[in-house]
Amino acid sequence: MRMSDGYPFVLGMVEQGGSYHLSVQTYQYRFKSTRSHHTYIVRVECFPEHVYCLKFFDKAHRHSDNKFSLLTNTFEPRTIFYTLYHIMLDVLQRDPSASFFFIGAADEHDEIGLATRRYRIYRRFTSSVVGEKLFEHFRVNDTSLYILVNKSFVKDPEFLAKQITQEVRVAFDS
Amino acid sequence: MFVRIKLTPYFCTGKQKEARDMGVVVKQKTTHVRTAEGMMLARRVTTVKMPNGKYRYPVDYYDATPGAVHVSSSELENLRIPAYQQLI
Repeated sequence: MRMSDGYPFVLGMVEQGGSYHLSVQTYQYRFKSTRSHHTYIVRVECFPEHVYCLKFFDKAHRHSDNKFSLLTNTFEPRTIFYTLYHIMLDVLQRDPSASFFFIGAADEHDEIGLATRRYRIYRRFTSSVVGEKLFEHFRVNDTSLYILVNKSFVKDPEFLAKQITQEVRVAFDS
Repeated sequence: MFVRIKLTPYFCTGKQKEARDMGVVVKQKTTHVRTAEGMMLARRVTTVKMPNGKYRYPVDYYDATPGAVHVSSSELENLRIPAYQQLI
């Protein structure tokens, strides 16, 4: 297995709704690391306008309120990111008009109001593997939000990016 | 007679060790600068007190442009790791 293939993943279930009131449905994937033997859960929440949010956490932290912020210290982020990337491609295969966004959760080393460490790594990885052919890239540094808008299906990518930013801000404030 | 032994800084751990090496942050001042391209930069000056009693004033900059910012091709090219293959 090459690192760029990622780990094999399984679509566990499709839930109606999600953690946020605007969520339409949620795809729950899981994969197991053959190196650290940790199982990871990936939740892809679908919002109106074919917007998808990718979230992932270690299964061992599933009952924690800070499950998205906890560090696993398994030293294999690249393979995990590649797995997430392939999950994103799987979602794109199911819904070709999909646009994506993700937020880099803060950990104990981050300062409030600044781009988080996770966000900086995700942004670097995304800009390395996702080109400009299909997606338009947007970044929001103060909320550590990165948006990939599907060019071929969205007429006004800037407007959609602004809408997503606004909704994320509302969700953060509430 | 009880004699209190003062530990040398080399026996300290954690936050004390960090304070010994990097000093203690006394205050931070942030000012915003708008560039000609419309980007807003935050200039942050931190006042740090070092263990020898002197102060240092490290300066760092970060992007503080409000709202969603379109990532240009040149910015993407600067960010990306060349060894990675773009599949889409």
